[in-house]
Formats: sequence, C-alpha cells, structure tokens
Amino acid sequence: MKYPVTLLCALLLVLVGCKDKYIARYKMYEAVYMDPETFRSSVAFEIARPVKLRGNIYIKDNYLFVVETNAGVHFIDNSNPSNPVKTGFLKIPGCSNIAIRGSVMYVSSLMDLVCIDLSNMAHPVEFRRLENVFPTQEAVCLKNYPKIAVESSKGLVVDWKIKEIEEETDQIQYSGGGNGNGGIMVFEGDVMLAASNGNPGSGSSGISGSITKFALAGDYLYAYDMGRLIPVDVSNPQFPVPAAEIWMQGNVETLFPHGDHLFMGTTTGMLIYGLSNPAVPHYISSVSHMRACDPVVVEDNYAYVTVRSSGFCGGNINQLQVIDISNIQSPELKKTFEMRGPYGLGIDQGTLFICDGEAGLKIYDASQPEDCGNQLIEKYRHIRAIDVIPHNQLAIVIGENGIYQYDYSNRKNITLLSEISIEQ
Amino acid sequence: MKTVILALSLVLSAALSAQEAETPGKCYNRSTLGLLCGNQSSVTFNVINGYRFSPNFGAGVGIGTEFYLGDQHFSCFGDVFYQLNKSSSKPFAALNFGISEPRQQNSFNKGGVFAGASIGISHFTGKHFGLTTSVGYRISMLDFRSSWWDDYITRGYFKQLELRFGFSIL
Repeated sequence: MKYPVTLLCALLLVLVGCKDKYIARYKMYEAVYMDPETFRSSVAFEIARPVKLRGNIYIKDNYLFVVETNAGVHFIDNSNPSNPVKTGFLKIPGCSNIAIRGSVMYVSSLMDLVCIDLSNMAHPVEFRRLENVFPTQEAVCLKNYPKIAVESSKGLVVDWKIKEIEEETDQIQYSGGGNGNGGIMVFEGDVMLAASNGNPGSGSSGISGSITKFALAGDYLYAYDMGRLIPVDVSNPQFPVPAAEIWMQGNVETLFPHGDHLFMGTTTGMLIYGLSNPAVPHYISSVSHMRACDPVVVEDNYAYVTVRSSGFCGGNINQLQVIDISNIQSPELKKTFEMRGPYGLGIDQGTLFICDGEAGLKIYDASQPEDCGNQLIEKYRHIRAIDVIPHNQLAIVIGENGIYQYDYSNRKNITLLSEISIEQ
Repeated sequence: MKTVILALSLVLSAALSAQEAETPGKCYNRSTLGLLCGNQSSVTFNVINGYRFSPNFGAGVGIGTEFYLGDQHFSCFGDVFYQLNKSSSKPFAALNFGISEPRQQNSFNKGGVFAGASIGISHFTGKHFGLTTSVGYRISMLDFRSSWWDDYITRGYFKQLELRFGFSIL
C-alpha cells in the first residue's frame, strides 16, 4: 500500500509540475485627454526641441518640416542640408498631416483643419480653423498596440501614453482580436502613419513623402479620413472651403497626386481617381492585390507600389510592384520584386528609393522601370527607413531613429550629408 | 541557425571519431528517441557526442529535434553526466541546457532556451555498446511574437516529463 501511495503522489507532483505557463509582455496605449477649449487654444510656436517621435516629413523652399505625431511640427532651416538648423516647434495637439501652399500650412488636428500663416517663418501663427472637417476624433497611433478603453467623457484623445504590461495569460497571442484583458479595445485599423502632401504639385506647394493622407493637386487639398475623401478648395489659400465628402471603396492609406489624377494606396490595391472635376474626384480604374499596406508614387508612365504585410496590414506579401499606367483606364501590373517589409518610397528622375523597413534604405536605378528591382545602386542597412522625399539630388529619409539626408547627384557615390536623431 | 547546428554537429562528430581512434573508450555517443509529456507533448530525438573525463564523469554536445505548438524545433545543447561503474548496468544522472530554434524561421516563433535533468540506466551488452533508458524533467522557455500587435511577445514556459530510450556507445 505504501508504494502505490508514493507513486500516486509522485505522479501528481509531476502533473502539477508539467503545467505550462505563458507570460505576455506587450505595450498598450492609454489615452491622453484634453478638453475641447484647451485643445483649440493650444497652438503656439515654441523654441526648437529634440524630435521625440517620428512622423511625416515635408519640404517647402529651404525648410524641412517634421511632424511629431500628435504633438506638432518641427521647423528646420535646411538651406544647408549638411547642417540643418532647428528653428522652432509649432505645438498643435492632435497633429498628423500637413500640406503647404504658398505661405499657408494646412494641418490636420484631430477633427479640425488648422491654417497657419508662414509668411514669417520665425513667427508662424494660426489664422483660421475649420472645425469638425474630419470625422477623426482620436490621436494617431504610430504602432499597432492594444488600447485601453477610451472614456469620451474625459475629453478629446489628443495623444497616447505607452504603458508596458506583463501578465500571465492562458494562451499565446498569435494574431488579431482581444488579448484577454477585459478593459482593452481592439485595434481600429485606420492608424497608418499619415503624412503631408504628395508630389511637387503646382505652383508653390511643398513636397512630401509617399505615406500620406493629405494631397495638394491644383486648387484642391484632398484629405482622406475614416472612409471618406474630403476635397478642400484652397484656390484662395486664406479661405479654404471644404467640398462634399466622397465615400471611398477600400481602406485608403496613402494619396499621391499626379497630373489630373489622384493615386491611392489601399489595403487591397491601387485606385486611380480622375480630377477633371476637382471638387468631385471620380473613379477611373484600379489594380488589386492581396490585403497589405501599399504606398504609391508615380513617374512618367509607371506607378511604383510597395506592398507590405505585417500586423494590421494583413496578407503575406512584401513586394515592389511596377504598374504600367500608360493606359490610365486599364493599368497593368508589369513586374513584382520581392522586398523585406517595405514602407514608403520615392522616385526622382529614374532614381527609385525604397524604405524597406528592417532591411534599410535601398536605392535603385529605375531608368528601365520594368527591371528596376534588379538594378540596386546602394543599400543602407543601418537605417530602419520609413519614408523618403527625393528631390533635386537630395534624399531626405526618415527612419525609426533619425532623419538622414543624402546627396545622390553622383549615383556612384551617394553621400550622407547630415543626420538628426529622433529621441524616442 | 539550422545550418550552424548541423555544421557544429558534423565537426564535433568528426573530431570525436578521430579522437576515438587514438583513445578508445574515452569518447561516448548517446542517441535516444523518446517522448516529451506535458501540456505540449511531442516525440523527441537526441544525439549526444561527448568525452569522458573519468570513468564516472563526462560532458558533451548534442543536437535534437522536437515539436512545440505544431512547429518542429531543432535544439543544440550541452550535456554533462555522472555514471556509476559497478557492472554492465550503469545508472547515470545527466543535466543538459541549450537553445531551441524553430525549423522554419518566421516572424512568429522566435525559439528560446531549455534546461533538463534526467536519471537513467545504460545496460551494456558488450564492451562498447549499451541500451539506455532515462526519465527526466525539462523546461523550455520559448518566445512567440504576435503577428497582429506590435512588440507583443508571449513567453511560453513548457514543462515536460522526458522519457527516452536508445543506445550508448563508449
């Protein structure tokens, strides 16, 4: 009798000792609230400060503007790209997108469109605010973290604090959905890094990278927000007038104006809209792909699309796609080239820049567009590149840890001119 | 990682074979097939090549394979054992510790480390060859990254009873 009892106890001990345990370590967003009155009276130009969080980059004349997502815009005098000088910080709570036409900067600040007079760069001032133009009511999330439930009674969500969590869980969290914590909201999807406007555009508009939900084309500013394309008439930059919003098919992530067309990267493909009636863009054609994130840029008769699969982007492809748009009614996917996990991209006179995430910045010769993916000129692995503006032989690249400027006037000897660190 | 493990194993095997020719009986090989039992159960296969520093004590390096949550893993580990040399049946105790990597490198299964302890007996039918059986306990600490959320790691502590059968060559 003694031995069976001993054996039974040993077996129980073993069984108890063989119970697996799972510890989840992750980060969550906790809302930072502000009451609407304070929110709308907080715009102020302050002394220059370190860039703390990556956001969109935008250039206009000799200035480089770096959006610090949800906080404001850094003004950087880039007259000498080898020695950029931070001149100030424009504090705008809930800031995510910018575009500049003439001496007016348009800034999305949660649901408002804020107009900033830049005629004196040393003293930019808010001169107009179009309230409730955008449906967005929450600050942008740069990362796909779960959110602690928002209590709207506490005010507007103007930013997010990151909270580190370590907890025992009963299963491994592989994919989407809740994570077992009762107070958590699931991810809402529309949190792509939003940038400033698209290509060089007309007149005195600025230039931005490819990851953008703001685009200036002709006399209109186009903004995408929560399923809607919102044209804003800026023919008189001092008095922007929103036109009727247009419901879009698919989840649009980036806008790129080119000629009389607006190219849009969506989670399911590239859309082309016509701007013959700029107040009412109309659908022309599209190219579909598996679900993924995909910025688009255009040069001549080709559109270049990077398709990325990870997290909320879904899918399982990471590619550069080259699309022939010589027949705008019937664009044709010509070539695909495998990438690691590409974000933004840019093209300037046959030089193609791909921000391939962890694989770094890649520069290709795109003089033969359908073979561009095989024509690697240079690769910078140390930059976790997110977006790029190539213009006038100067490539401005924003990565997770800094802003880098490269001179590519000699493609055989591309040189780093300067670096501004991002203090996360 | 897989390549490294295989290369390491080949190099070690070659070295041990050469050494064995010069100093017979000093090197050992223990190859076992078995079961890992727990919330996650799996078949397991190990090959250990080592060196006996004394009649009782030895240490070696091993490679193995097992499954966790449906993914095949390869392990590379260090092994130390203490053996009693009383007769043709030699009881032993062994400790091992090492790394475990998924066969298919993907962004979800990141692998991890493990450690184990076992006791067993080798029954030698000849001077060099013996049949081995052992029972042990193994804990593996493996990381899994969420494919949806950013920076979301779940660390699994897999605790398993380890039953092995195989042969030993001295």
